[in-house]
Amino acid sequence: MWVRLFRAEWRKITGNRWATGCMIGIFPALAFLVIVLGLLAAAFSSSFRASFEDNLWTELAIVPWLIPNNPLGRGLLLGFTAVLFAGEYQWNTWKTIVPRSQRVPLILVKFVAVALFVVFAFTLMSVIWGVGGGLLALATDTGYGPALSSDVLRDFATDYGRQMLYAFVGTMIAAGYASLAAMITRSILGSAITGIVLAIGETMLLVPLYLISSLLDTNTFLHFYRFLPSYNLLNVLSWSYDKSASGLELPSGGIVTDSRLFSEGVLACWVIGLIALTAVLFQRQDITN
Amino acid sequence: MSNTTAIRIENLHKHFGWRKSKRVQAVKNLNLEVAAGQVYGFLGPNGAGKTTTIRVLLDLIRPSQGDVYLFGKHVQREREVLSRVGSLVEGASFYDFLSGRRNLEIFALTSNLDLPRARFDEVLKLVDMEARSVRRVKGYSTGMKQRLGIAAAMLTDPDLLILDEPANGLDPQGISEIRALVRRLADQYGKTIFLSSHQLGEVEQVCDRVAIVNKGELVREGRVADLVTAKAQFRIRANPVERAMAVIDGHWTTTPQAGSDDALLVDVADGETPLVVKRLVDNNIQVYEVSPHRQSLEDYFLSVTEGENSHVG
Repeated sequence: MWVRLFRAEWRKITGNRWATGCMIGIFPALAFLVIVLGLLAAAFSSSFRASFEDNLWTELAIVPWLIPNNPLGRGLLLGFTAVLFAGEYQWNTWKTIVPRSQRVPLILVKFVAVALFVVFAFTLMSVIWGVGGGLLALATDTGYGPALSSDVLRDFATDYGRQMLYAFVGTMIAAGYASLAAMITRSILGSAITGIVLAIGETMLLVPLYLISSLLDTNTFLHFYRFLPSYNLLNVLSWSYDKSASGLELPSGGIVTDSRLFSEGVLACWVIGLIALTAVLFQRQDITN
Repeated sequence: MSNTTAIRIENLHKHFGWRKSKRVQAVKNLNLEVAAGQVYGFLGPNGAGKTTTIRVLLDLIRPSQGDVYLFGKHVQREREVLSRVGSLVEGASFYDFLSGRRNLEIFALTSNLDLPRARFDEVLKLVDMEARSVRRVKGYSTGMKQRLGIAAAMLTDPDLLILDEPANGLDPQGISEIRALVRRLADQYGKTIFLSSHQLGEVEQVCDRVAIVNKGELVREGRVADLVTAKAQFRIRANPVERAMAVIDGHWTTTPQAGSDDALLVDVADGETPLVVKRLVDNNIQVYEVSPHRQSLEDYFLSVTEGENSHVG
């Protein structure tokens, strides 16, 4: 059952070329375009060749995985998820599909399909970016290290896997916001806007929490922020790149820091919680449109 | 409960809205039983609760109270029974960025079926959509979508077909084809068909039994043949018709026939017709024509819904 549901979902995603192309396919396509333009510039411009600097393939290949956790990437992911989840309401297709299947697997498979499609797209972008960087290095006669060794490959695999995991978590949280919004608004635009408001609002919550904590001369309220996804995503990325916590400055002075394990735990709770909440709501929902 | 009962609805209530003051009672204490193999018409004016009932049957919405059984299985507790049901609710809806065939493939996969290519060809042929199935649904007419919807409903070879206004958007030939298809599915393949329709004439021709609902409540249920012949009526053309009505009234019930200046309908048993004619002639009323009047389902429908709604839905 799961495999068939997944195949159906994958066909819907790949068949919706406009939405999928504009919101996800655009990333590998842009990477390809940049590489092609770079190669053309290297072929025809000596100044471009002279200004091109050495790069590390271990860094270039990982760069695409930062996109799902930056504001533009997250916005597009929210839009993509909104199309997939709210589209079923807007196109009235739930009423045909729901009687034929169990509701919870239907909704869970949607999450899996979104995640795998995003992982597939960014893996493709990462390959294009990594290989393209090598071609550019060849064309400009610059360095493209480090040399392959078992240590380098092991470190790269660890970093790559971790970035991929964080991108996956970011995608799942964005998908969770958009899917919840889809359940409530039942419209693609409504879901996308509500999802973006939720995602931005969650980040911006730091400001009122900081103000309340300052006014009441207590750190209690600010500690709520430590349990939100954006803070914890930032923290795990900081641990990953800087090998230290990002930290949260308290109004009373001092900085509170959290371990990578703490943030990973909080993020896992958010992902599971959002997906479970969506599944429960969908299970109980009247499909009236 | 026997398995020869395809649908059994017990004390069904459905309301929408949380606040009591704004609560809308869509279905009120509905009890219904549909035997397997029948073509069952489900009629009622707009807002009578037909689509709400159909949505409950398909577990798209949960009843506020009451139970629904399909083939003896509780539709909410034993949901797998829905795999024996094909449906078309409130017009066909598809992923319009995909082709008709690709839509059918998706519906088959979500039904947990890996159907052979031949099955898709078969159902597409059944609704005369073979050639156009490779085109995107976006370019389909309403009638084409409706036909594709029936193909989707038939895909799993269901025992029960629930069709909500299947003739919507179809031209007269399309309506006639659907009528023939529905009858064939019941007669040749033993399918049970639960059909709500605007087309009372079609319902009359195709259905074995009908239920009429109004304001969420069941008002009549029975065999179509019994409902349309329940009243013995004669049509009498006479001049002057007003005097004719006055002469007969008091002895037999009369009603002017809608759309006619010189005809009236008289509720009278077959054997009493000569008495009516004699009375008219004795009163110097010219009688031009006396003929049995067969009440159509539409006449019956309008009489039981008390003419509150001039159109049905």
